[in-house]
Amino acid sequence: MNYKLKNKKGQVMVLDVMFTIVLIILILFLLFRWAEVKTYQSINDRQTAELNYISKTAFVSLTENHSINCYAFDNDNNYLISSCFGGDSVVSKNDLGIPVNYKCNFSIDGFAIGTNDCDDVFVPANVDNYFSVDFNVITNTDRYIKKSIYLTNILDKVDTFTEHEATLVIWK
Amino acid sequence: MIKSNKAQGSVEILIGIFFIIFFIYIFNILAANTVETLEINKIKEQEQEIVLSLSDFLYSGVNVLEEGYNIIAYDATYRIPLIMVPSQNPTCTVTIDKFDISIVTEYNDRNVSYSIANIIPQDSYNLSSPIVTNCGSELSCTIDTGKLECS
Repeated sequence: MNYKLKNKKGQVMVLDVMFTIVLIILILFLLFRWAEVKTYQSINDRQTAELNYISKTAFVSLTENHSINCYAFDNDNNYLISSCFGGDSVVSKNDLGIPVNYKCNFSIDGFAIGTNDCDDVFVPANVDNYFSVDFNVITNTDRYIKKSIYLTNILDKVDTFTEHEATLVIWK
Repeated sequence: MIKSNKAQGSVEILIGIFFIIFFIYIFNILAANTVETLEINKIKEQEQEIVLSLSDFLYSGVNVLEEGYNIIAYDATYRIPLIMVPSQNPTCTVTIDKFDISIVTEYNDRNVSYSIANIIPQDSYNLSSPIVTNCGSELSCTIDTGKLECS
């Protein structure tokens, strides 16, 4: 009788230990899954931060660039006109600071830029993460605009320039 | 019969102790690996922040150069931040060359690196040889004869 009682105690002890071990292993798995999620999230965040940085820099370079945007000129000086594109504007990935491993697509609705290096085919379904911005621009046949015409447009609010919507998309 | 039971109990205790030691050993290795993976990720995050802010700093110099704000001498200094993780303060090396801005951190006998393409137009700055510097040191940029010069 006494022997049987001891044996039962032993069985309960073994079950306790078994449950504890299973619980510890489950907690361990939970910990590793958490670490895996953190790692994945960190990689994802880094990729997004890099894409955002390159894209924002490219956007600023596209709208305020001496090699791309229009100039108002008189006999003495040239003044850069932001967000203005001429039919002879040349858009290159290099000027926008876009690395070779990134792709870009820049287009102006209803207007063709002279040379556009940013013309990769964008298919949203094939891309996980991308930067896209729509913004209004003014266009002119020539990048160099007489200062008197430019000032007339601003001061007298004469709509000399044509306004269009432009789209810039950048992805990896 | 009693002797045999006692011997069996001792063997069970020994197996139990061995199992606990083995379990602690495995747990330690796994925990150390997990901590290392998380710390490497933290290092990479900090490396990216450093490289992107450094690229921003260089780009702001190029903007000044392009805008032609030459009324006062351009002289800007950027202190490269240190990389810190809970277990140690690893040393890191930043390299700026024509193609990349890269950073390498020495962590537990391995090199953790991050790099981004150098987006500064090449004709905007004098960079005959790569700039190699350490985290915590200062990078100074001036504009000389129409080009950005950093050291």
